[in-house]
Amino acid sequence: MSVSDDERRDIKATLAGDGEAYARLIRRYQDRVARRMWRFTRDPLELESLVQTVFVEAYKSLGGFRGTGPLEHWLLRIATRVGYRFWKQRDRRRGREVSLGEYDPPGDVPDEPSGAADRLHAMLARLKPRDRLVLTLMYFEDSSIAAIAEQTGWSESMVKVQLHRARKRLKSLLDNATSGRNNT
Amino acid sequence: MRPEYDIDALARRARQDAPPDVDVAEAVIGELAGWRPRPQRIIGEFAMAASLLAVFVVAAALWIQIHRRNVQSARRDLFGSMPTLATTTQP
Repeated sequence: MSVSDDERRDIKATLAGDGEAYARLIRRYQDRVARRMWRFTRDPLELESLVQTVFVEAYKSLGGFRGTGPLEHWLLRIATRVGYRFWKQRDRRRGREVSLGEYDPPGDVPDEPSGAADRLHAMLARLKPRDRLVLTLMYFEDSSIAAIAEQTGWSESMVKVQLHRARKRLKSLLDNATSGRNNT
Repeated sequence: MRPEYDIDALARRARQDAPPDVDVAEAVIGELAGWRPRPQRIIGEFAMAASLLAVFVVAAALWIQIHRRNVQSARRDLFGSMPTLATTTQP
């Protein structure tokens, strides 16, 4: 799948300064981008701001889009970068949201998808942004190693190493939380 | 033995969670008013041409310098042992 003729026309018009053409591209892809950004935040206001940032950044670098792959993949790469940066900045600002001591260990898997997503999000939020990113793409997006490498710009071997470390850290976190619950 | 938490089952369910609807088209267009995407390829080609030109200029300057030194040393080889006009006019 590559860039359709309609998209190509809209990209060309956007580069020539046609705002309406870019609005058409945004409307075509904003749901897909929002879906990706929903993995980075659970706050609807932050979600909107992140999606907006993705399309602003995409516009500024649209001249560099070669059109060799689908526009969606290119946008999702930008979205992943924006989300990762958002986590890093937030971490620097206020540290990880909840310290390990406050962490509520997981119980049964919730029936509702939103409850499950909340819990998975909360679990991964204990990790560093780098670990969190690979696990988010793997668990939430069901991405392969190759897809994670493409989305993050890391090499496949680096993704494998990162995944191994992140899983280990998550496991030890879950073990600690579960043993803490069993002891009380 | 403690049972392991089934994170894969949690992930499978979490994947079905959909985000709230967003419509950012107007906000993005408003934020970008007055902006034009940078023609990166043209800038890239311009930068490449400018750096090639800079390399050429530096190489030419070096060549001239070396050539000038060669001429000077050849002149010294030829006339270096001969007395200068100033010493011959001394009494």
